[in-house]
Amino acid sequence: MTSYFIRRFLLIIPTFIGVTILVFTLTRLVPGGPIERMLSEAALASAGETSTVSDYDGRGGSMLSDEQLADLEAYYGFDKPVVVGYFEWLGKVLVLDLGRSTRYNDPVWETIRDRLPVSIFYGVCTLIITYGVCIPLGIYKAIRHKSVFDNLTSAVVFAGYAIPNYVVAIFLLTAFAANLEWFPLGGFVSDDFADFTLMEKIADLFNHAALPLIAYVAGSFAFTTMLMKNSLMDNLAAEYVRTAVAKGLDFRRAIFGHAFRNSLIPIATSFGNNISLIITGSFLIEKIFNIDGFGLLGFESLVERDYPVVMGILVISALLFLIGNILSDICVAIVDPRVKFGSGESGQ
Amino acid sequence: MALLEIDQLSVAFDTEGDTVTVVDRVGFDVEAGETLGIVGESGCGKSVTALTIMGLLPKPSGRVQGGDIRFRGESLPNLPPERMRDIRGNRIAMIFQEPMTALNPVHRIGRQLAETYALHQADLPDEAVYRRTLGLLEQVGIPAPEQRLREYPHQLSGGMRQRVMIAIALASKPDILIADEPTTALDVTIQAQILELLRELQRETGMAIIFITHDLGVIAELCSRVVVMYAGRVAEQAPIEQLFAHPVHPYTRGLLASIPRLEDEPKTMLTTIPGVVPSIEELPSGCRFANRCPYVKDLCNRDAPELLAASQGHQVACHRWREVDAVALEKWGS
Ligand SMILES: Nc1ncnc2c1ncn2[C@@H]1O[C@H](COP(=O)(O)OP(=O)(O)O)[C@@H](O)[C@H]1O
Ligand code: SF4
Ligand SMILES: [Mg+2]
Repeated sequence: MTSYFIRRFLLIIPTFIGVTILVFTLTRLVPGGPIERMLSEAALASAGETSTVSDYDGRGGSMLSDEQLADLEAYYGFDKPVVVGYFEWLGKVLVLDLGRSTRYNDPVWETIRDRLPVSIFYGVCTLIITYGVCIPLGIYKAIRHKSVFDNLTSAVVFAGYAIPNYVVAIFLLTAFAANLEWFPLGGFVSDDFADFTLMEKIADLFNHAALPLIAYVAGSFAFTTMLMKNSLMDNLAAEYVRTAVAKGLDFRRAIFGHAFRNSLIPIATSFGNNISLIITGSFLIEKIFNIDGFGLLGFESLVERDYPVVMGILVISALLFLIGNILSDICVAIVDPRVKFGSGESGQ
Repeated sequence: MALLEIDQLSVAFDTEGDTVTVVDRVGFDVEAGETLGIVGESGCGKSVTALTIMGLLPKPSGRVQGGDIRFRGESLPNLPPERMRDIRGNRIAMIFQEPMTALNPVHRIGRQLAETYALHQADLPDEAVYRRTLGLLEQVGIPAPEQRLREYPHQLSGGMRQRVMIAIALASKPDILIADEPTTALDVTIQAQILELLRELQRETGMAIIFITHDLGVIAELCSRVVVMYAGRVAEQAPIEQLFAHPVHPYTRGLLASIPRLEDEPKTMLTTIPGVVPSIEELPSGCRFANRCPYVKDLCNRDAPELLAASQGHQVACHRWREVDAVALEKWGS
């Protein structure tokens, strides 16, 4: 088992290289690179507000000489072949240098680091709320299958699933922030956050987070709740539960002592995927609530052709995804003793 | 008073607006220490009868529609749930057909064995529980029991798992063990070992066994008395020698004729009773065996035969059993 997980960790390396090579090559192939982007923006600025964006794909007039352009390309490494460029980039990543943003000229790592607390806060809260609600709800729905409560909650979670999260976000913002003014209109914390006491800080944080969190989780209940419900119902109907009841166990103990752990197996399987989702966030929700998280950063970087940032985000999300999947397998191995990863291990 | 009395028991399931009676006025007694066989084709209501005794009918669809089950004179269907839990797994234990799925895959064998003690003998110290679980595994013939206690079900073969199931059932020294086709899912050699084990355990413990099977051959090896069921009803009930030597219900005769015997001429095909069991939804109002019975008369289609005494300890539900007996037609022989 241990050797299996060591192998899995080693496999991260080729997978990671594959994913990053792919995206790196794409950034080189897609027209309208960061330099063109910067030039057109510069042209836009100098031409004043009357100028249209139509000269976007041009050189931005004759602002720069070919020589200066070549310098710029060399500075960002665009003058080299893709392969050379990639390995230079990878070499830097290995020493934890993600390069500089072409947009802000800040180190990419600093840009990402600034967003990290926000994204992790929302990601972890989403994860906790999702599992904290879905698991008990799924259990209760399984026990009360076909009851009014079961049907009603099914309708609610599926409605949440069917409505796009940005629609939920806009609705919440309009109703509870703009009209009723119960919550702030946006932002991660208040401007004078630094002057608050600890309790005020916590209150302020959650005051700001309430609406975006609802928008985040509204769509995520359906999948895990129904997974939990169906999985538990399958297990309640399983013969080993009947054996347990035949021993004289009451229904409650049969559920929590026997069926519950078995029904967590599919939940554990889907856990890894959710881990990597937490950090990516949603640019629409972040945009609507004016939160500076990963979602917005990634989206803007892509639009602005800020490829070093795009690659930096890719590094982090790819690693999270790969590690998340291994964590998932570890979770499954913990709940299910039948799982023996890899062949030739003991106990087969 | 018999240890367990099944008295005119009817069990129904509610399915999509419909109620189907799958066990219809079934009655038999189980005496302390005896082995009673229940035999019948798949779907005739054997498992439902067993589950009803255990109070394990699927809820809310299944329910006792009529009749009674009395254990030491106490009516089980009317017991409060807490009291029934004292009997279930303690005084009456049950093992199932599929040893591969009947054990919890994520718990160690030791824990699943010890659970019975935790439930019914909560004051037993851990050390004693451990020694007893070890003893149980030895008793059911499991080699290296210390190691097995620490293993998970998937690490055991089907036969070993069924032995574990038997050990779990034995833990509280029950008065009655209900074995619902415990060997059906196993290889023939393993099947013989499990039957031998049950026989031995019964001799040691003196518990009664209700042995359910679709295979009359297995019944012959183990049971002292047999209840033959057909389509939710009792067709015939007799001591084992009586039933084999002198069956009087046409269905029993058909079943017996379809057992391959060593002394028989080798046949190219097994004799089987022609026709199919009527489906539970469209049971005839008369005798349920009428559509397959070579002795059928008008009366059979009109009235359902009652279970009546044919001789001492021998009951049969057939209008024409006397004539059948007298004619002793060998309709199914060769
Ligand atoms: N949970 C259930 N719901 C509806 N019908 C059932 C259920 N369980 C069993 N039955 C029906 O009851 C009849 C008897 O089944 P069973 O006792 O399992 O037969 P067997 O003699 O093979 O053990 C069958 O017709 C079966 O379809
Ligand atoms: S009652 Fe009639 S149909 Fe039924 S078994 Fe007897 S002879 Fe056959
Ligand atoms: Mg059955």
